[in-house]
Amino acid sequence: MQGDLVIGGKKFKSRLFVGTGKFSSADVLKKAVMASGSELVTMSVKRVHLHGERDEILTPLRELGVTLLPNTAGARNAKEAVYAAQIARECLGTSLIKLEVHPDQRYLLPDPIETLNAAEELVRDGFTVMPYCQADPVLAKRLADAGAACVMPLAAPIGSNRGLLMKEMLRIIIEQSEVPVVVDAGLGRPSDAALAMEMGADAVLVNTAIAVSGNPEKMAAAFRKAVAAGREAYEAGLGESFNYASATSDLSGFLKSLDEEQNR
Amino acid sequence: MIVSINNEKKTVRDGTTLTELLLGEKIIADAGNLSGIAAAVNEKIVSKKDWNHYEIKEGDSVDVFSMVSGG
Amino acid sequence: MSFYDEALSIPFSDMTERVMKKTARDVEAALARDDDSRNLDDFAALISPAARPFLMQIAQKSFTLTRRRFGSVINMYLPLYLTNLCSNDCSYCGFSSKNKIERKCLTPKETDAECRKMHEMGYENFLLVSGEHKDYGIDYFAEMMPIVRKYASFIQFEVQPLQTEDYTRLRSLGLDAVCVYQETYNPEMYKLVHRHGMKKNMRFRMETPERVGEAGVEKVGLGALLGLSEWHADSMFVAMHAKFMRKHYWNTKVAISFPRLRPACGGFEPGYPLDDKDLIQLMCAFRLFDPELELTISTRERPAFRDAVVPMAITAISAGSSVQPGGYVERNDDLAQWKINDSRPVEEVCAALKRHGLDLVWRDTRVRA
Repeated sequence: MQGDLVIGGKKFKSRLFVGTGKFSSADVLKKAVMASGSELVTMSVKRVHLHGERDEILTPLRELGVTLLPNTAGARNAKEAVYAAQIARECLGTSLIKLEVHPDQRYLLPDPIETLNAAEELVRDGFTVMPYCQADPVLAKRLADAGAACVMPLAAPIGSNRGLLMKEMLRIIIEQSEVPVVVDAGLGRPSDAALAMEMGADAVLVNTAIAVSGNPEKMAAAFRKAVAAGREAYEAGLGESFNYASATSDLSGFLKSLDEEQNR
Repeated sequence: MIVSINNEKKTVRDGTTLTELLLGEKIIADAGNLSGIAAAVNEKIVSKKDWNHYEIKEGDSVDVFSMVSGG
Repeated sequence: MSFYDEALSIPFSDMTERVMKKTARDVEAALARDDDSRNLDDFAALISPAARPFLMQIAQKSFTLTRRRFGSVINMYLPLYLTNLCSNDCSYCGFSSKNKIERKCLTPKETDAECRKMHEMGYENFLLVSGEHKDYGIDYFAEMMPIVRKYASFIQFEVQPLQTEDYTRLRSLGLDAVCVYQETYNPEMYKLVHRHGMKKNMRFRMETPERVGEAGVEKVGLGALLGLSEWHADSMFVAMHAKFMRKHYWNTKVAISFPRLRPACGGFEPGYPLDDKDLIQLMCAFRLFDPELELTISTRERPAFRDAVVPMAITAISAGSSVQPGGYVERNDDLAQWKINDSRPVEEVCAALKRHGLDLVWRDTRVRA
């Protein structure tokens, strides 16, 4: 859709969301998020490790002033997801939640039924639900109907870096969706992100491709440019945007005049 | 009394509050700064504003959560 | 095997049948096909009567494909009639040897004067036209080339079929394109209307584009005289001919013209007339069949028709034309080949095109060695 990106009442100038997993250190993470220009990063909620090292990323991320989006990663069913969401809300004081339910440990593919059920309950409980889901156009519609603030269909399995495997389905979702579409998971290269944006995605979420690259800060900057380029191309109007209004109206006027002549 | 914190058994004095428990286990350093963490007792979330007067009982299972990196 | 052998292996009426039995389903399939992948069968569907309800859709698709391939460019060309002296007797043509009209063949001086006038009108793309006569053949043309070359940056010929070496010779003198319209691919009709003269030789005429290709001429123009025979079939053969040229002479650009049979001296009436919608449908169908084709429309067609259809499919037009030898310096309609229906001055035609954001190109600015 055209216009500003607004999700859950928040306006975003950057259409690149960044996941914070798999970075080698908080410092690398912080530099990468800065380079990406992102205004929204995801985090997970976990049980505190009592004796080990604390994963202290809240402070550096808070310093950047980005929106923190907790996810329900680890939940295997709707009940666990709802619980995790409530804990995240308690931790951060935000009602934003990225709903993820992936019982499948091999490919981390989301369970559609548990996701939909959890979404319905969380919406009732006042959450701003951003559901991660399979690139299933019908499911996307169901989630939006249930009150989700956006849909986050996967481009390819999490961490696979395989790009827009689900391209045709994503195209349909983008065409049909009345809520923002954030293409999430599997984007391996900046060109994947650019392509998703050219197709009309409202935003993309990238984690692995940045975190595990040889130079995360540089890769984050590359994704930033790619997302901006893709969005600009989309807004400029790709392909079939020839203004044939005047030519075709002249032609149809001419054809009409032929019919009128014949009828005389 | 014996309670468990994130599945680890601990002995604490009767009437310990959640705040005291977390301070004691060095999960929090400062009772004034509880940002970024949450606690549940027997899988029921206890709101941070209640930690100061929430007393743990014998056999309670306390779970403490914080935000970590993740995609 | 030349195209003549290929074409004549298909009975003309079979081609008509092939088009007529197309259904709305076939048309939808043709429309849905990927651009650049439509075949002769799709073309048959698109020109069929079943496609008439889809006319606006076809036209819109044609518009998109034309813009995509050619941008907003329309090439402006102007015909220069060198002679109207002809030894052929063709029943449909105003220049037929049987017709008692005044004949004129331009001298070099007259050609120079015409070219200067044409250049003053803004043109540098000249289409040289002549009748067929032994006294006005390759040597005459070769003599005219340097004169025309002074004023034109793109030179096309629409004269009698010549030999390969003639085209080679003319090419070295600056020939850029050759138009040779088969008139009809129907051997019976062809025999009927070409009563006398060299033009009777259907094979020689039909193989001309191949000789043009052999000579390395940049572009060849194909077409049928629409309405002479069953026009659906003739159009299929034109499409086949275009495909043949693409396959065997990949270096040669192909252009299609749509001369629609018009009343001429002698009163020849088309046996298979096309109405305006037929012609629009046909032009747009060619665009969908092969987006690379250059499609031309002349001043045979009237203003309202031209203005409506040019943006949808056309890449080259003439305006302010004279279809008689010497007509730019001094007009004498007794010498004309056919009646011009768009006699608007050039400026008026251009204004109509510019309204649609079309960009008129007058000269060929490519670097030539």
